[in-house]
Amino acid sequence: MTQEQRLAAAEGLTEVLARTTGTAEHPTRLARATATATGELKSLDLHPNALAQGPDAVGRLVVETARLATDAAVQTSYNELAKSLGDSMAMAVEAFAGPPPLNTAPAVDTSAPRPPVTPPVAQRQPGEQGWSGAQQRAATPSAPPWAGQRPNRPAPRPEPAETDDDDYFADPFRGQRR
Amino acid sequence: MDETERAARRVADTERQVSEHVARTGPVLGRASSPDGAVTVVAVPGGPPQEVRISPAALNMGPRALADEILRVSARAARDAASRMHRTLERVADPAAVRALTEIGFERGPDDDDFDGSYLRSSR
Repeated sequence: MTQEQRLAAAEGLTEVLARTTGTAEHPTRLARATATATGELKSLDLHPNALAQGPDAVGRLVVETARLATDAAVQTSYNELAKSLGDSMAMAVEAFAGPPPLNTAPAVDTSAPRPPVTPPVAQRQPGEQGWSGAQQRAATPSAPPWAGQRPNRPAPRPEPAETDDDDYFADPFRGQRR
Repeated sequence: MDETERAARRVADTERQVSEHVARTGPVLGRASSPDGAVTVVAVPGGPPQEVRISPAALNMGPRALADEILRVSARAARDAASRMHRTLERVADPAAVRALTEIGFERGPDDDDFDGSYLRSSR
């Protein structure tokens, strides 16, 4: 890939981030969101049972689901970048944009001392309203598109701290110079 | 040093300047609320909503209407966050960095908005 191609591709980064979306469902299955890699919420569906959790829980549910959807979109963007630019460019982007969320973000912060959002009761009455979306979407695939990847990149090999010794010992006249 | 490294260095320099500024002034946050106060969203620039507050009465809207209202308010909070980041960057970064901010999708909105800068200074 030539320098010009890489520059053109880098300029497309913004467009990739704004265009790529990710969809995630909250682990409790009470909310589903689609967001761009820049965190813009494109769609949001709340399960009717979610509202029974109370206003605070609904707020947290939306925040957590939006973050999961954004993380999915960022991961998809990285995958798309790596495909179109090559691994070296994707790593350069990663160097100043941060690692992909798969390597850094905890799934959902469960350590905070707040009441958990409890999953809905499984059985549904006949005729009860389901998802609030206008049309039922196809179920999201169980495995995300990056599931086959290695979970962690191996740590880069450390650079030798001092390389001057090599030059010194390569000089046959070492020690005879002043 | 190739073009990518130079770009990364410029990003790092700008990031340092902004970080130092933000360390003094607090994080750049945007906020928006429904006219009736049903939904309030706090957002950071370029990220998903950080906080979504819903009034107890808003639960009566039903899931579809509430979700739509959250979407609308989130979009406004994101625009507010982008505007505030512009105003923050204008104080510390060079004009090229501020222009770049617009190019990557952070529009500078009008100075006078619903909260006219009081949010960051108000105690919460």
